[in-house]
Amino acid sequence: MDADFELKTAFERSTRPHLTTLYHSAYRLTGSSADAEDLLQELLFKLFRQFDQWRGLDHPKPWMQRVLYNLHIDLYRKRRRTHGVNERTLDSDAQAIDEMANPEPSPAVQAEGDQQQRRILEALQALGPEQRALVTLHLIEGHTLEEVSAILDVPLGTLKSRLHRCKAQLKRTLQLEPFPENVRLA
Amino acid sequence: MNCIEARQAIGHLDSGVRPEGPLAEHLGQCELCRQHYGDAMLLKTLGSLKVPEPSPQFLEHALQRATDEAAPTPAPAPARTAKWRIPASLAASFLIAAAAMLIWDQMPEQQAIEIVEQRTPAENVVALEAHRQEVRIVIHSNDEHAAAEVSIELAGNLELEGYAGQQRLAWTTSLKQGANLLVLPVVLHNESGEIRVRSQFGQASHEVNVHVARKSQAGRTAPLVEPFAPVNA
Repeated sequence: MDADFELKTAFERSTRPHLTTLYHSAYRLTGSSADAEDLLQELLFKLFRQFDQWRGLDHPKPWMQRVLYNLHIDLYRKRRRTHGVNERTLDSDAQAIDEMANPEPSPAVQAEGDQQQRRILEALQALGPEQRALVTLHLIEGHTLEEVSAILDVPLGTLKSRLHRCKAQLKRTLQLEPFPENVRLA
Repeated sequence: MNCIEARQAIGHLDSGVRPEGPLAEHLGQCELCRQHYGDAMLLKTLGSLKVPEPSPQFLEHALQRATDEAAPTPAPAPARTAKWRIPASLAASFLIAAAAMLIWDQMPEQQAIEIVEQRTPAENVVALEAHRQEVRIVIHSNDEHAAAEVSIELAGNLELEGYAGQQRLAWTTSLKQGANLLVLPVVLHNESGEIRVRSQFGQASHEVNVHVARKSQAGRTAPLVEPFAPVNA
C-alpha cells in the first residue's frame, strides 16, 4: 500500500473521533461558527504536520487541545493586530444559534433564548484568550484544574488565581449575584 | 434555613433565578453561601450555552485539505522524476532571511549564498554548469502558515523538468516555521533565463528573482541570487 495513503489514513483514524469535540471547543473559544471552522482547519493542518510527534500517544486529545489553544492565542493576537480586538463576529452566531437543532420554541421563548446565548457569548468574548480557554476547559468542559494546567502549560497556582478573577468578572457581566448591586447586605 | 438547606435549594434553582424567601434571607447573611450561589448560577449559565454542530461536509473537507496541503515532514530532496515536490513554501511574514543554493550535480562541494534582509536590487546570477540542475531556495519563516499562495514564472528558455512548456505554475501550500525548502529542477535550453518566485499570504506578498545563466555567461565573480524583496509586507 502507498505510504502516503497509509499516513493519511492513520491521521484520519486518529483525529476523526475528536473532531466534533474539538469543533465545540473552537466555537467556545472563538464565539462564532466561521471562526471555529477556521481554527479547526488550522488545527488539522498543524496536527498533520506534527503527526510523527503525537501519533504514538495513547490519548492524543490533550495534545490536540493544547495545539488548539496555542493556535487560538496566535489567531487572536494576529486579529488584534490587524483588525482590533473588538471586531468580533458575534452577529454570525445568531444565525448559528438559529440553526441549532431545537424543538421549535415559541417566538417569545426563542427571542429570550437567543438573547441569553448572545449574552453568554459576549461575556466569554470579553475575557482575554487565556481566560476564555480556562473557562472553556474547566467550567464548561469539566476538565480538572490539573488537566487544564497540563493542557495550557500554566502553573496550577496561576490558574487558580486566574479562575477566581474570571468567575468574578463573569458573575458581574452575567449579573449572577443573588442580589442587585445596590442591595446592601448585612 | 441553614447552609446545607440553602445549598440544596440553590441546586434546584434554574439559571438566572433570583433567590426568594428563606433562601434570600440566608444568603443575605452568609457570605459563603452567596459565593456558592454565584458559582452554581455561573456553571448553569455557561452550561446552557448552545454550541452548533459542525456540518459533516465541513469536517470531511477540512480533513481532506489538511492531508492534501500540509506536508507532515519537509521533503529532503527532489525526485529526479518529472513530478517535483514543493513541500513547503513561502509565507505571510518572512523574516526576509532567505538563502538560495545552487547544488552542483557533479561537484563535491556546494556553492551557496546567504541572503539576509537585502532590499536593494542586485545583479544576481545562478551559474549553471550543466544543462539540467537543481536550484534550491531555502526560505526562513518566522511563523507557520497553512495556505500560502506560491507562484513561479519562467522566462528565457527555462523550464522546470516535468513541466515542459509551462511558463507559470501556481499552487497553495503550507509553510512551516524555520527553513522551508523549495527545489526547482531547472532545464536551461539557451544561454540564460529568469525565475521569479512569488508568495502571498493575507496582505503580505514577497518575490525573488533568480537570473540563471550558463557558467561562461555568468562569470566567476557574479553574485548568485537576488534577495527577496517585500512587495507590500
